[in-house]
Amino acid sequence: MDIWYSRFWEWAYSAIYQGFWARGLGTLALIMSLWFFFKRKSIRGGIMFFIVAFIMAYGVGFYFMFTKR
Amino acid sequence: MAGGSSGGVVLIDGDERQKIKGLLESLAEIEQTYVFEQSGGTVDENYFTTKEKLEFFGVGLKGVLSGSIIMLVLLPLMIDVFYKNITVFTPETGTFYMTFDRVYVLCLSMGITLGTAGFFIYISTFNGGIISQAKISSLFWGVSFGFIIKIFISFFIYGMLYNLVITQQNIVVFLNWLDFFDISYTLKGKLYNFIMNMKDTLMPSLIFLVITTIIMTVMIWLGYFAGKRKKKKMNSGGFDER
Repeated sequence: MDIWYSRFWEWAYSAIYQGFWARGLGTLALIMSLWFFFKRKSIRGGIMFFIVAFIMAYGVGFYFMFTKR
Repeated sequence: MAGGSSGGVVLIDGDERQKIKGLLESLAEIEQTYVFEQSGGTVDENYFTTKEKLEFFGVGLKGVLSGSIIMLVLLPLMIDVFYKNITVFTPETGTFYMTFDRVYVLCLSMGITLGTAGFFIYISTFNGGIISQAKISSLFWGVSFGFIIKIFISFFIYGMLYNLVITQQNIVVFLNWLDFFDISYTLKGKLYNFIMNMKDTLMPSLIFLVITTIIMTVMIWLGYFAGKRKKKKMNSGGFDER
């Protein structure tokens, strides 16, 4: 069970947080954030997506910077 | 109820109208005034009271300052990415990914500010008559004042960080505090380099912020005068511009 759990997170990490998909999801979150801010006039939604866009970019960047290199 | 309408549209009296709180409400009010004036209605200039002028001024000021906080925090990080001190996403090499990452952090840092500037330029297209012009100019004076405050605040914050907060001595004290978390020397070294690199990006960030703010102010006022000129040309046939 533990092996499947850790394998799932490894898969999720490699699929979502690395390379193309991280950039794709980050861009989507940024577009959604601006859409919420300016089109929907929802500050809460805009901030939420903005935080996601920020974490997708800098979160992974900082993680690699302080651990991998 | 109210006076001053000659084109069949009824204007709401000062006591009955709601106070403008946000940019969208100011846009809605300017649009309504524009439609009223374009349908042939004329109102005395004094109808737009000082209180309303201050309301529009305040909305412009707040609209600029709220977006500036994000820009102020994220600009040094953006410059750090441009200097290749830190990476965003995974550290992949290749011209496409590097360009993409730079464009992404630029949009992340400046997206809201640029969007707000675009919003103001859009508002300037409703520069139709004497009242809408007065409303837009009050809003834009608030925006310009907000930009000046933004520059002063960034001078103050970045200057404080550069000269007083991020010093070698303070960083050493900060890293000593981290002993509590049992952090390795390698990580401490990385943190030290990161903070010192951040210090180097503060002044370029300030220059970038001042230049972009000046460009945005010029663009907004150019939009205002372009809208005014366009409407003047359109209305020169029948509508009394006064």
